[in-house]
Amino acid sequence: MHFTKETFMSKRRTKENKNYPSPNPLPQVEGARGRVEDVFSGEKIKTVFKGDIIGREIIFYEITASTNDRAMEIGERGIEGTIIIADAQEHGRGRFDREWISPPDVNLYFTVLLKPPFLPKEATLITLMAAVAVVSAIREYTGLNAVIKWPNDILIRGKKAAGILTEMKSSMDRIDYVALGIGVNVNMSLDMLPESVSTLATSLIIEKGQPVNRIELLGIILSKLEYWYKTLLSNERKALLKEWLHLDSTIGKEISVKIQDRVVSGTAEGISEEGELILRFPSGNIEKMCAGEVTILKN
Amino acid sequence: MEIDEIKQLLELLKDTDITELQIERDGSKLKIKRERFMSSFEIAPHVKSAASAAAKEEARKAEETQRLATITSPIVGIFHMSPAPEAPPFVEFGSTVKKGQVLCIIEAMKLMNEIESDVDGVISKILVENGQPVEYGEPLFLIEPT
Repeated sequence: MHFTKETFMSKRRTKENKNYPSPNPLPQVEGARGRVEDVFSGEKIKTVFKGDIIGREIIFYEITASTNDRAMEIGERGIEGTIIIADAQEHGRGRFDREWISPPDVNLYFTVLLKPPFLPKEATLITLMAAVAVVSAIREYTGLNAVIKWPNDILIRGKKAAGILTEMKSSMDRIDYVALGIGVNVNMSLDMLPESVSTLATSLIIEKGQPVNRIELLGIILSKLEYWYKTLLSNERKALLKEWLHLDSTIGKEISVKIQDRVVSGTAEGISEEGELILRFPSGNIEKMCAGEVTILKN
Repeated sequence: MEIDEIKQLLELLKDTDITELQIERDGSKLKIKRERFMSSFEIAPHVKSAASAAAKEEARKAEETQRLATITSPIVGIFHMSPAPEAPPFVEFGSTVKKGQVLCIIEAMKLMNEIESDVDGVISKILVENGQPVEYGEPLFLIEPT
């Protein structure tokens, strides 16, 4: 089964009118040069959100190497839904050990430990789920037009505002655990971004022009994760894919995809039930892509 | 006996090994005799020995597969030998590995699936090239258990 934007167009319009009429009023936070006085403390963080699954346990670090590293140390011994959160990371990382800029006081860096009961091959929707949770939370809380680029990039005005690193340990037929790492650039000002990424990355304060309360945003992201994870657990994958399409900016566009040294281009036709990108070549042939970096060529 | 009937009979015999056939019916008699076809065995006796060598190889492989542990991919994705493009690979041919040690990463929808060894042993074969797509259940490594 394929999912395309067209299929859900009518649904999409009503949703936009219903759920995103105007942003929620921003919390009153005093800020200067992008710094907000929403200081993290263990106590504050521990009461931010407690779901049936997500946030049953919350572990807070002032600073740690990487929250994904901490989560993977706990691994199988940990309780499902455990959140490991840090105010700063010494070696924040993305995929393939790329650096994730992680200064203190300004951003969100946290990892959710999950132990889904499904098969490893069914776990790929977890990355799409994370993108849905973060993008919808940003839209709802700040009113900014955050979008997803396949499969889980989070962009505002074409620049990266948040990142997701999902690491899984599994055997052939069983998932040991999933470390779902999320980093959101919240109150990081432009001058805190290294020059090398300043044209590629952004933050909520840069886009909004005023500070955003990290803790309240975290609470909303966690509640969305709880909702969508429960949706996946009850096997309603289609509902998640619909919401993903609603927040996505890739499908329907002319795109190119780079996989290793190969670059292919065509029309992003839709996504499969596993979350694969369905690419239609000019020849009319169709390929399902499970990896690759997408560049949007033409809207 | 009609001529069509005989034709049909000859047609039927074509694909058989029968070299001689005699039919008596209502006083008429039909006898068909032909040279025996040479079988492929007779044409090429070396093919037969090659076939048995292949069978032996098959048996040896089966035995090897029984002895060696096969690590297969639990998901469809891209096979990564190392944690980062410039980093050394997790394992190489001849590497000693422990049970639970990470051997490679399979990437799908940006989910990084770390594949662990389920035995202590030595890497005896790496079956996929770095960066290549793999199917669900595709063998990735052969490990000689220690």
